[in-house]
Amino acid sequence: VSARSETTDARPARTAAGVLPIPVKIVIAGGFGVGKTTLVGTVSEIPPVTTEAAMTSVGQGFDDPGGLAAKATTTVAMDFGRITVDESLVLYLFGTPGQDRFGFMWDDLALGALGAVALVDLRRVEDVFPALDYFEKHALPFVVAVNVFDGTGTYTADDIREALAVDPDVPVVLTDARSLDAVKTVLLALLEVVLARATARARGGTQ
Amino acid sequence: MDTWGPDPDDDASGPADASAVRPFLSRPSGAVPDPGRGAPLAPVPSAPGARSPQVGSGVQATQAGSGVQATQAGPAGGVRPYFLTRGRVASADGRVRVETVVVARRNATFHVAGPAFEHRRLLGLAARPTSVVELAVAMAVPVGVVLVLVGDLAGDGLLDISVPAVAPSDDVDLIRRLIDRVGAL
Repeated sequence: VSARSETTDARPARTAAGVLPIPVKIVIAGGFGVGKTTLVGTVSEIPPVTTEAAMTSVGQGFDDPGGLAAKATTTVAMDFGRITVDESLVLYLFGTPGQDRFGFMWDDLALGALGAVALVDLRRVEDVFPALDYFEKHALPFVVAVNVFDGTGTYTADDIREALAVDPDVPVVLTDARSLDAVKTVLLALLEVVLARATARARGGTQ
Repeated sequence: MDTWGPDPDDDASGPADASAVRPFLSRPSGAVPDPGRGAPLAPVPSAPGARSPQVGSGVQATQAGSGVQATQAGPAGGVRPYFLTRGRVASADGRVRVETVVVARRNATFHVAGPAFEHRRLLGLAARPTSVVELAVAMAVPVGVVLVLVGDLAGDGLLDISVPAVAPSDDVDLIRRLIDRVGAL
């Protein structure tokens, strides 16, 4: 590991496809407290880092009609994690609040994203509706991941699909944001959708 | 596996520390962790059965990209960090995104004109390939500020940015590598 770092330091920085890793990203959207940070932390090689979202979300300012300032400043935070595939490819996971009034922030995050995970708490399913609307509107591949809390395990994926009114081809996965295997299942379900779309486009392009 | 980029903890001081270092920067207290499971901050306005956008929440946000700053950002601030970008909210280089990996060119810091402290600092942090979002954490500024600074520095030829030749979402081989990697976690 250190040898690679030294190599990176020693060689001249230059514009060449082989020098810089290609970054790709997956967006994790959902309401407050649904477990986005936990999910990111479960698979990330670094602890989830919370930072401030893009400038557009901070510089526009918010009215504060009812003491909501603290909530607003909390909400513009996003967190991210990282999975290094190899020296030429890095996957970032961005967790972002799902509230509609921060939809403009998603444009900065969702542009160029491979896909998205809509993380659902069945006690507050409506929190994820704006995210679902956004992904559908922008044709971003996504999966629905239900973070299973106590007492929510009695629903089936089909029940949830119906409640959320998502298309039949959108995977609905029951998960546990704390479980590596469960989160892997979510990400793999999404990546399979992404792969299927890419494959379909490649076929279309060669005809 | 932290083979490149700064350790996010290296220089990621919290808002209080940052204001101590650069008191002229009024920073929003945005670096608050997600409250996590079971800790809702407030009830969310809901419209049962109607997945309707624009649910009235009493909070107004102006259109993104309008470039018009709020006249009063409130006690949390949020405007003055953009002094660093001379008020601009969009990167000069449209290819720069939050995940974009950048690397400073050799000796780039010697070519920065004027007392552009944050530009020099960014170039120093980007001596090794580092993503925009990780630079923002290391510099304790909003990601949007780094987007603008990186666009400037790339335009001045002081750093390089990673731009894939093929869109990752169209790159079947790349997606297969991701699947293999995630499957092996």
